[in-house]
Amino acid sequence: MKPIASLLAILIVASGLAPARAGEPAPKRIVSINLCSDVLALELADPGTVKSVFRVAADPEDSPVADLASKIPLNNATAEEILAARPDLVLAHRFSSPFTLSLVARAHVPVVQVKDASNFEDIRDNVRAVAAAVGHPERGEAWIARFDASLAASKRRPPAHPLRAVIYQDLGGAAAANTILGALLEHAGFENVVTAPSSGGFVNLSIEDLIDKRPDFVAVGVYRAKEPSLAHALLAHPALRDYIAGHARAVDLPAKLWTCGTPFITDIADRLAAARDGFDEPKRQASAD
Amino acid sequence: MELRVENLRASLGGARVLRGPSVAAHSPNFIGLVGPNGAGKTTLVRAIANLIPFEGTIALDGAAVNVIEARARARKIAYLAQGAESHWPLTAERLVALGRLPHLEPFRAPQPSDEEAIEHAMELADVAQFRQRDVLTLSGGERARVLLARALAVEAELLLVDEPVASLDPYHQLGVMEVLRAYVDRGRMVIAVLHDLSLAARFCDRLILLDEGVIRADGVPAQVLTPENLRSVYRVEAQIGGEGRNFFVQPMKRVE
Amino acid sequence: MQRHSYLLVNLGLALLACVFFVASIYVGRGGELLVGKLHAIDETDRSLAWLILREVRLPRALLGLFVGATLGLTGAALQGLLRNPLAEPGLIGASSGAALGAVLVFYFGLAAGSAMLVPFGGVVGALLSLGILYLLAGRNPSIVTLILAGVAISAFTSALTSLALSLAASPYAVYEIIFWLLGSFTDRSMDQVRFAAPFMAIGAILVASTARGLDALTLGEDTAATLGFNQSSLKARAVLGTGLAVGAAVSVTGVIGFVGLVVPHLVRPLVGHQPGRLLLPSALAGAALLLAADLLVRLPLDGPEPKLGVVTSLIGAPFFLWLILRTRRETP
Repeated sequence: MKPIASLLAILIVASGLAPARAGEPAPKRIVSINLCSDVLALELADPGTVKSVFRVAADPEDSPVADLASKIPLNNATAEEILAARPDLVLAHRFSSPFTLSLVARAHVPVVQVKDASNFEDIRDNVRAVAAAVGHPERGEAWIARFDASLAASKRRPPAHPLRAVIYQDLGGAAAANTILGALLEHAGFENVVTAPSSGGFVNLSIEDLIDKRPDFVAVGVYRAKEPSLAHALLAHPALRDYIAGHARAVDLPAKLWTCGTPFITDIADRLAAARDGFDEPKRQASAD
Repeated sequence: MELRVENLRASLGGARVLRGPSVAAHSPNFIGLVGPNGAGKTTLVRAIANLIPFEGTIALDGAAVNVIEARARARKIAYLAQGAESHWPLTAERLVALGRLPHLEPFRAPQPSDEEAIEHAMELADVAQFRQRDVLTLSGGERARVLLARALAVEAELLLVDEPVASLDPYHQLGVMEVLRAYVDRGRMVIAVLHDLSLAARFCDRLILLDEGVIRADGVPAQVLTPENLRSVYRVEAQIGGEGRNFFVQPMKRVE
Repeated sequence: MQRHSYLLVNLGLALLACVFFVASIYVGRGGELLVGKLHAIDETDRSLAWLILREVRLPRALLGLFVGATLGLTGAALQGLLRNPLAEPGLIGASSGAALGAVLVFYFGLAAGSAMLVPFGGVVGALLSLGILYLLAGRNPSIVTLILAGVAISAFTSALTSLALSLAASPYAVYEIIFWLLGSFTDRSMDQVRFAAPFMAIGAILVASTARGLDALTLGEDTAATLGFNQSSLKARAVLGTGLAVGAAVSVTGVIGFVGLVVPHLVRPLVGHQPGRLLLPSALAGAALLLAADLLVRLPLDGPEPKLGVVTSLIGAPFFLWLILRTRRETP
C-alpha cells in the first residue's frame, strides 16, 4: 500500500537548485526518474527534449502518457544511467532516493522534485514547477486552466442524505481524507467513511471492517487486474461481492489515473461524478462501469 | 512347529556371508547359535526373520517365510535385535504392549487376550514391578528384560534373539537365559545368538556352530563344544568340564 | 484407567478447540464481539452481521481448525517417523517447499481456474522438499543432519519463493512475499477452504493410518518390520499424507512455523510419548493453539494485523531453543 501511496504522492519542490528562469535557455536534455515527473515532463516539455523517462512510463497499465513515452529510452533511476544521458535537467520525486540525487547534484546538474499531491492545489504547484523548469510556464498555466474547468464540471454538492463512500484498493487499504482520492470523493459529493487522516495515505481496512462501515458506494482502485496477486484475490472475496451486490454500488478506478496526482485525475473525478449522478436516478443499474 | 532351512545363501555388501547352511528343528527347542565374530550368526537370524533377501529355503510348517503375509509372519516369528533400544521414553507396560501389534485388528482396541499376553510376558520376564516406569530410566539389565518381555508378548512360535545377554552382568545374564528357557518350556522354539559358550551350553537344548557361513557342528552342547572344534573354529585352547546344567567352557589361551 | 485418562485428555482438547473455534467466529478486531449485531433490530444490520459471520469469520475459523490440526498431526507423525523430537513440517522444509509450489502455480499458472490448482502446487512442492530431505539426510538421520538439511532446504526454497515473486508480474509481489513466508488467515474465503480441505482430509487420513506403524518404529525399523509393518508403505503414507495436508494448508495460509514442533511436546506430558497415541491429541491441540494465536493477532486495533506466523514463531522459536538445550544436556 505504501509504495502506491508514495507514488501517488508526487511533488515538486524546488530542491535548492532554482528552477530555470525566464530568459535562460530551455533545457535540451531532460531526464526524468519518476512516473509522476515523467507525466508532467512529457506533457509540458518540447518534443525531443526529454531524453529518458522512468521504466514504467511506457507501460499503458501504469502510465496515462504511455504513447508519448513509447519512443523514449527508459531508465531505472540509477545515478549511472542518469549521468550517462548527460542531462541539463533532472526531474524527480520528493521520494526519490536521496543517494541518487546527491550524486546527480555533485555533477552540477539541476534537479527539480515534484511533491506528493494530496490536494488539487498541490497538483497545480507541481504543474507550475515542471512547466517553469522546462522553460514553458505558459503551457503550465494553460493546462491548469483546462484542469480547473474540468473540475468545475465534475463538482457535485453533497445530497441532503449523505452518501457514504469508500475508495478501496486491492491490498486492503482505503483512501484517507487527506489524499487526492479522498479529495476527489468529497469533490463528487460523497462522504468518505474513512475520517481519520493517514500519513501513508491509506488506512488498513479488512473486508469485515469495510462492511461494518456500511458504505453506499465502493470505488475499487484496481491495478493490473489481469495479473495474479493475492491482492486481487481479496477483491474477489465473496463477502465483498455479496455486500456490493446487495447494499452498495461500485465503480472501478484504474490505478494509472490516480497513482500520480496530475491533471489526469479529472478522469477519476468524471467517473465519480457519474456514479454520484446515478444515485439521483432512483433504482437503476447499480454501478457505472 | 517345524522350522526348515535349506541351502541358505545370503550376501552383505557383495560379500557372501551364508554359504548354504541347512537346519531342521521342531519345537519345543532352545537352539543356541554360536561361532566367532563374522561367522554369519546374525545374518542367519535376520534371514529367518525375513529382514534381508536370501536364496534357498526357509519354511515354517512348510510355508516359506518370504511368502507368508507380513502380519501373519509377525505373529509366528518374534525378533529381538542385538542392542535393542526404545527411541521414546515409554512406560514399561506400553513398551511390552507393542508386542501385540501383529495381533490387533484395524480400528479395534486391544482385546482381553492381548491384555493377558502382556501380563504373562511381564510376569515371565519379571518386569511387572516396572509397569509404570519410564524404560529409559531403568538400568541396562532391567531395560533388557523389558525389551525381552516385548518380544515374548508376541507369543510367537519362534523367537529369534540376537545376543540377548551381551553387556549384562552375570545376575541379569542368568535372568534372561532363565526367561528364554521358560518360554521354550511352554512349547515354543527359541533361536539365540550367543557368545557366552558356558551359558549357551547350560541352557540350550542344541547348539549350532557356525563359521564362515557354514555349519561346523550341530548337536547337543557337549558334542559341539569339543576341544577340537574350539581350536579349529575359535582358535582357542579351553578348559571344558561339568555336565548338563553345570557344563562350562573356559577359554585359556589363543592358538598361535 | 489409562484409556480413560486418554479419552479425557482428547475430550478436553476437543472442547478447547471448540471454544476457540466459536470465539474465532464471534471475536473481531480489538476483541469486539459480534453477538450484539446478530440480534440487532435493524434487518440490514442483522443480514450484514450474518454475511460477515458466514463469509469472513467462518472460513477463517475453519482454516484455523483445519490448518492447526494439520500442523499438529503432521508434526507428531514426522517426529514419530524420524524418531526425532525436533522434526516438524516447517523446520524440515516441507512448508517452505509448499509455499514455493503454491507461488509458482498462483503467479505463473494458467490464469483461468488456477486458484483451484494452487493446492496442487503446494502439495507437489511439499513432497519434493520431503524427497530432497530424504536424499540429503538418508535413513535414520541424526538430529544435526536432519536440522541442517531442513535449514538448507528451507533457506533455498524461501529464496526461490522470493525470487519467483520478484520475477512475477504481480504488482504487489514484495508485499506478498511476506504473506507466503509468514502466513495469515486474514480475509481468506470459503473458496479457499473448499479448495484445500479435501487435500487436508485425505492427508490426515493417510497420516492417521500410520499410527500403529509409528508405535512399532519406537523399537527401530527392523523390529517394526518383524511386527508386520511394511517399512516402505509406512514411510510412503506418512510422507505423502504430510505432503498433501501441509501442501494444501500452506497454499491457502502461507508458512506458519513451529506449531507442528511445539504441539506434540505440549501433549506428551498428558498422554505419554507413544507416537501413535500422540496423533489425535496433537491434531486437537494444534487446532486449539492456532485458533488461539489467530485470536491474538486480532487484538491490536490499528494498522494491519500482525502476520500469524510472527506470533507462532515468537512462541515457537524460544521453545525450540529450549528444546535444543535440553536435548544437548541429555545426549552429551
